[in-house]
Amino acid sequence: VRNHSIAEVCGPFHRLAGTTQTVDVMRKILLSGELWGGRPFGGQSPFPAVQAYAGVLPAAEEGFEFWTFAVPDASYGPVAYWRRYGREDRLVRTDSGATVARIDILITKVSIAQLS
Amino acid sequence: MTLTATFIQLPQDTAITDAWPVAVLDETATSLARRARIRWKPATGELGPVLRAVGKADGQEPAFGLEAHEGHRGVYVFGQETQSEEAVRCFVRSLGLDPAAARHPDGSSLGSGLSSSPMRTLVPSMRERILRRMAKLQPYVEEAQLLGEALDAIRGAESSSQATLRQQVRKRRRPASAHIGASAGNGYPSERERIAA
Repeated sequence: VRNHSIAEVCGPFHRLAGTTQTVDVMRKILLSGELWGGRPFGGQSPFPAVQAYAGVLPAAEEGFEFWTFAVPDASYGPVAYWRRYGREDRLVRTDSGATVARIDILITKVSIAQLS
Repeated sequence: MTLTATFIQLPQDTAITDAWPVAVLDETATSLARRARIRWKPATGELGPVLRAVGKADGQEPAFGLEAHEGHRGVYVFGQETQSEEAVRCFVRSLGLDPAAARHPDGSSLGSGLSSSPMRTLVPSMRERILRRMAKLQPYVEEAQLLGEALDAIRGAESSSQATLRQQVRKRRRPASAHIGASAGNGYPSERERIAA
């Protein structure tokens, strides 16, 4: 009997294309399979956190849908939060010196006209 | 009797210490504005356009932040995560809402906090948090138990080796004292034998 490791996959989540999610940012996310996030509530949180809308990508919206092995720290409501607190594997230091949270994602649907 | 404080809106730049979602209200920005006379300020969040407001319950501290995502139902209350449950409930009441209808970010109810029973005041979420922390501490408890057992074993071994040592010391001393009563078995008569002779 083989030993299979079992991992829980969380999702679906989505992000919408828009002012904060430009085509360039979307392209980076899709190519890297990583989602980054800064400090919530206008930077007032001490913990950088990745944020995404819960649920499937609405049919009429542009954006992408994904699943992840990372369990959200706050999952109730329209937004899921993954924070970096106590999770060194979710930390990234950017070129500008800012610290952001990071999770690996599995993209299952992309709906961005400008991307193709 | 439930004391309901009034919502006091604070300047938008009021600092929210260690802001993190502490409650989720089943409301929209519009419904909450009607209910508590909130003046929302549009902002750009990580995910897109959001509406934000900062306020507190009249006569209470601290200040909490409110954030609603445009086009989505659910208003987030931001505050210090270590904030007491009662402070969050009091703030939710100041918005004209029943805290029992509000949720923690993990989905558990905020609870009304009106029960007099100390066990009941431990709302499910609190119980879950305690159980989760206990589960996290469990490995340390087990380790401590193992260390305790190891310590007992060491103490046991020490006391038994001390007992053996004492026995050995006694054995070594015995021949000298035996001269007084009986033959030491070394070919010489003992003291008593010499006196008898």
